Amino acid sequence: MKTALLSTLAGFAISLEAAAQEKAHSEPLPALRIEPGIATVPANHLKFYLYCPEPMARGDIFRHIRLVTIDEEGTEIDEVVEPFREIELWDESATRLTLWFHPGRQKPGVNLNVEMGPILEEGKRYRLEISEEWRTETGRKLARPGRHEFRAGPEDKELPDRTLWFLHHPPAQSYHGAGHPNLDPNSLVLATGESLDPVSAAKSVSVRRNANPFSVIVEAGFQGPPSVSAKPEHLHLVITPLDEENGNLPAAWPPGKYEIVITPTLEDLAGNSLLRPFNRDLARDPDQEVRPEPVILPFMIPDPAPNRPK
Amino acid sequence: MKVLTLSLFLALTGVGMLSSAEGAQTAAGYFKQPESDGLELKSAGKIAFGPAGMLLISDPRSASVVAIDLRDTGPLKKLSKRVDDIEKLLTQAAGTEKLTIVDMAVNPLSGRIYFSANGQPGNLPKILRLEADGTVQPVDLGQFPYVRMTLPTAENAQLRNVTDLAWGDNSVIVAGQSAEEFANKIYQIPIPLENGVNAQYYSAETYHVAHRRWETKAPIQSFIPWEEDGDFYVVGAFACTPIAKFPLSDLEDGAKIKGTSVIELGSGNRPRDMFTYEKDGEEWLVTNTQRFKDNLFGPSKYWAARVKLAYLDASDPDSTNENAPRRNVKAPSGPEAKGIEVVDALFGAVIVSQLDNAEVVVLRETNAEDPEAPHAVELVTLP
Repeated sequence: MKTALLSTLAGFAISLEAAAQEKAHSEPLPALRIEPGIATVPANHLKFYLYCPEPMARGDIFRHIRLVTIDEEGTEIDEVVEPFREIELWDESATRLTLWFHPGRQKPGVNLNVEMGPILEEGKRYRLEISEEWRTETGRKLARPGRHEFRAGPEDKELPDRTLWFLHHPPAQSYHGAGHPNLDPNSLVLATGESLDPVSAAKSVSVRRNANPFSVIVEAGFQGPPSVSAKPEHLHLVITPLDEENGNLPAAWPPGKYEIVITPTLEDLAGNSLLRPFNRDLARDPDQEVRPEPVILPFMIPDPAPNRPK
Repeated sequence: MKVLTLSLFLALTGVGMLSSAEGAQTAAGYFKQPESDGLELKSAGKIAFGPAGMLLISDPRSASVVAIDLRDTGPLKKLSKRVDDIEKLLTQAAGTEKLTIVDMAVNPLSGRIYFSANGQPGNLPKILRLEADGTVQPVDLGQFPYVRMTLPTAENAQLRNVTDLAWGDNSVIVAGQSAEEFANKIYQIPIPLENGVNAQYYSAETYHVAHRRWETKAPIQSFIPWEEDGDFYVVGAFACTPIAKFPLSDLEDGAKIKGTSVIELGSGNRPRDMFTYEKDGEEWLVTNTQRFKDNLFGPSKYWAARVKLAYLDASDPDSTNENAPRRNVKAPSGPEAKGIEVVDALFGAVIVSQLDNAEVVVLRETNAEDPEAPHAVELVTLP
């Protein structure tokens, strides 16, 4: 009897667990996010990043991803043929896919570019579409398809020009673009004059405080809805200090001498780094690697002024 | 010139190991402090065979390569008949709802044909094998000794996918790409193979004949090890499709190496596999590739070319890089092809793995018009 009761309880527990799993599986997944989510990219744009809510089913992913040309109303005109370099490149968490446009078609003068034409043409509008049929690793469906509409702007063949960079000292209210709801008031804004690759920015930019590593998060542009327009104020990096002792939440900059350290591998959307253009002709420019050292941008947060005596 | 066919590899590496490591006739003899059992893959990527039945498995999800001693050393039994709808057999053996073939490699000692595959749902990494009688069974990796070699982070970029791997120069050689960089990295892991990070990496730059530029930002798609006058090279194929050789002897970790482009097969192809063979006194390098667009010279987007190995000897400026010979697209064979020819027997070959000097195992399209159509596996005699 006792055994039967135990087994009944165990069965109940199992069914509760199954019900919980089913409930978890029936709840809609967060939307898939596409970066850079800006409205205009250079015609020689190289890659998007897909941030998926869970690890996704692998092995046959490109059947779920399309690039189409659209008119001004968003109506599909045509599907772009063979736009992607079909290799699965996931990050450590297995949730971020790097989606490469085929570089052989995006490099002007390269054979595929000549034979098949470029993927993007300046002035045209496009939509990147991710099918909701693409299941997660556990077989769940995406709540809705991933979509991002954008326009191809002029090609970018130039290295990021650091002479155009301008550091807006914290707090962020000092910056023209302040007031954006997604901008933490502690964030420091580095205007760059062009859109940078968001993952390259996060990896290439670090901060030292009093010569020691200092924890920050680096984002390219504001984290806004995917449809935000590429206004000049979006062409920047947002650097937000994190409080390591408080769950890495955004925090104020403690007083000190700071340096923003930018490794020369930092790339723009067309793959041009501080070192070299993406479409580099090594025969013509054999010595173009002129900046092997990191770029250092110093700034200071002074001690708060003592309260004046009343 | 000395061509490193697999059989020669085995002989060379076997001799070398016997003088330095007792019991190296087994694959585990190349390992140092291996795990005795319990291998679990996080993903199953490209696979290849090393000496003594050693299976090399790339596990891109954990940024590592595994070497395992499957003790599958013969006797040789060749596939007895063509196997149709290999996906159905593999899916049944894996016990999954769906399955995608990632790679295929034949064990030259036993003739068994191994597949790496991805089962759904769950992204389940599967290694399965096709026996000579046409039956398929899963391989229980958990019962064999292995080492897991983690690939180092190169210049702030972790390798996230292996485009090809092979055994050569008493080492495991890996070509791959990170998620963020379109860069060309070659990793070399010397024997004894052991757990942990023990690889050197090299950055390679290549002259791309078709668009007359030197490139650093193009990953190697497939390669073969190569030895010439006592020096060791990797001969690699790129997406654009020059074939270039990279000297790997006496390099420091992190070194930049300059490749020499020796042949151009023509634009618009994705190279898939490479191997060499000899017939009637002539040595050939074969690469099978996938056309981006419809194939103008055959029935499938999947096709292969063979080139006389003598082309790889070239080193002088008059016959390399911008002056490297190109395939004559108007002459698929015959004297006008000048030793860069289309291999008719490999039309539709999606994956090719070399069994011996005369035969390859081919995973072949069954319907060029339907990418969803199942594939067949068969032995093909080289021309």
